Amino acid sequence: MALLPFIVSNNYYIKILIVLGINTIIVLGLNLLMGAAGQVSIGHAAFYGIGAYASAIVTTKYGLSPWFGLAAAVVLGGLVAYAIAMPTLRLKGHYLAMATLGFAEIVHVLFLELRDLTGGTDGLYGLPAITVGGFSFETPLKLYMLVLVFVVLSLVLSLNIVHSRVGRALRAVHGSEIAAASSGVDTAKYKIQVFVLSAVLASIGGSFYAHMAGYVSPESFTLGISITLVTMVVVGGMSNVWGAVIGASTLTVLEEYLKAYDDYNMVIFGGILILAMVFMPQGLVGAGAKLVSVFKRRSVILPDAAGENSAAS
Amino acid sequence: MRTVPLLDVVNLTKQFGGLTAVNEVSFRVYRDQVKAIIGPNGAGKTTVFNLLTGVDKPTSGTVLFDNHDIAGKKPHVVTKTGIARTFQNTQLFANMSVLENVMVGRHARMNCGIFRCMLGLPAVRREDAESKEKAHSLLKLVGLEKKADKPADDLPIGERHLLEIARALATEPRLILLDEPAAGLNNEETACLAEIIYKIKGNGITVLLVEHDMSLVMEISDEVVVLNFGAKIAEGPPLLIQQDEQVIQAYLGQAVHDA
Ligand SMILES: Nc1ncnc2c1ncn2[C@@H]1O[C@H](COP(=O)(O)OP(=O)(O)O)[C@@H](O)[C@H]1O
Ligand SMILES: [Mg+2]
Repeated sequence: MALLPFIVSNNYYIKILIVLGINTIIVLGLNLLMGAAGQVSIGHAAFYGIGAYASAIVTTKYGLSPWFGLAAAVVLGGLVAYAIAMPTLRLKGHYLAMATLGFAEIVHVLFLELRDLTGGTDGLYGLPAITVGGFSFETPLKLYMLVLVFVVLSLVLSLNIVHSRVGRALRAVHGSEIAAASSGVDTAKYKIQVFVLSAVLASIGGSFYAHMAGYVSPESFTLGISITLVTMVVVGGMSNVWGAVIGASTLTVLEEYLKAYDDYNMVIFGGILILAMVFMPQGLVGAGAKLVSVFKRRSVILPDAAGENSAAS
Repeated sequence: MRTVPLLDVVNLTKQFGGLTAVNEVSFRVYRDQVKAIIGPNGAGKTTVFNLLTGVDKPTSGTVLFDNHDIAGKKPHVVTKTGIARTFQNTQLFANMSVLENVMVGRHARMNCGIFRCMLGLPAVRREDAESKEKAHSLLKLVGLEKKADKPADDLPIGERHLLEIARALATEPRLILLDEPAAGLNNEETACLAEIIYKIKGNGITVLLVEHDMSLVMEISDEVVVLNFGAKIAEGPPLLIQQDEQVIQAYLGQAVHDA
């Protein structure tokens, strides 16, 4: 993945790679939320949007550096997520999915209606490129390198979490909330923490997206995007952090191929989501692992079977 | 004169709508005792456990654990105070290995929060290694050490109860509540279970046990509480309970008939 931009120096492809990186960051967070902790959000496009708009407003309206934009994205995304999670995650069952769906619709309406702040349907234009000291990440290739650093960081953080005390607590909540609580896990606390973390990663993704595109507008943060993100989590595989990388990569590329059929995006990705849940509940990662184990078993079993045959004859 | 009880349950009552599942139940558990709660199905035994561990909130009554009122506290708080439990319908983390199930039980005795875990600091690794070692020794105690890396979902019913016991012990309880741990065990396995309970007691952990296997109850308990329709109808040493007319009528007679 790191070498790809040198092979294809075409900006079009590099932009796709940036989007792929951004999606990976977001899906890593969603993978922790859904795969590890078993909490479903169908409104993460809202946090993606909040991150993008926070960056856009801070840089275009207040003329601050994009790094403040990124910081604003993290803080605002985190605070909003906390406010949403507090009342909903304390409840058991599927209230979170419902709450995030409604919340994302409200946020979308706010992007449209708070015109003074968000520019309404036109959105906000003229976002500056990210710079460090005198160095500017203005070319797509440079921005890609920066995004890649964040992808690797998010991946390492996710892997660390899953295999730690907190990761086990999250998976325990997924397995049996009552047993997790009786084992000493403050279930509400960890559900809130992982929700906020996933929202912050989505907001970081949004901030990068805004600085790559140079503008933000409401149509980038719709229910369709939320569903695409969930589909990436499921198709990649929820029980493994690497599933996020694989899901985000495959479907970002697929989405690019299907650009011409943009109007049917939600139908296509909704369809893929349903098919994946029915036929590939462990995602591509799980299917791949199964394939590997089948090949391994065959190479072990075949000589055995031959031995049995010769013994029988 | 006896010392202060470890667990002092006073007039505990739980109503579900119009149904009084637990009705003004009082009893005490002293340190280093093995105490059993028996009674027919639906008598309210599991509900008593749920009330003691914060899974259900009592309608009224108090629960003093080591002189602290814990009635209505959240489950993870109760666990940290020193009460652990197993579930009649086992509640394992099917998505995790046998060893990891026990390691979840270490949660309250570990410290690393989400930030330290994210960064994978040396403290995290040290704590994890320590907890893994403790979990292994508990698996050895219940005889599941060979299955440490198996998915918990692969265990047969009897071993599920044993894994629940190991997970509960991992919380370092002073009192452990076992809800029908012998369910699904054959005679040999039940004998092993009795050994395990003696070992738990030997480690200074007090045991409160719900069980239908009367020979097990009579063998290992110091005292027995009998519930019927949510109310306590008898309490005392096993030998006296076995001869109690009311108990025989409500439960033991029926149990003998069933067997
Ligand atoms: N959450 C609940 N809601 C309603 N009724 C319940 C609930 N839990 C238990 N009960 C009822 O309380 C009674 C006692 O149940 P339980 O404590 O499980 O009995 P036991 O463990 O002695 O077999 C039963 O009639 C049961 O149906
Ligand atoms: Mg019961």
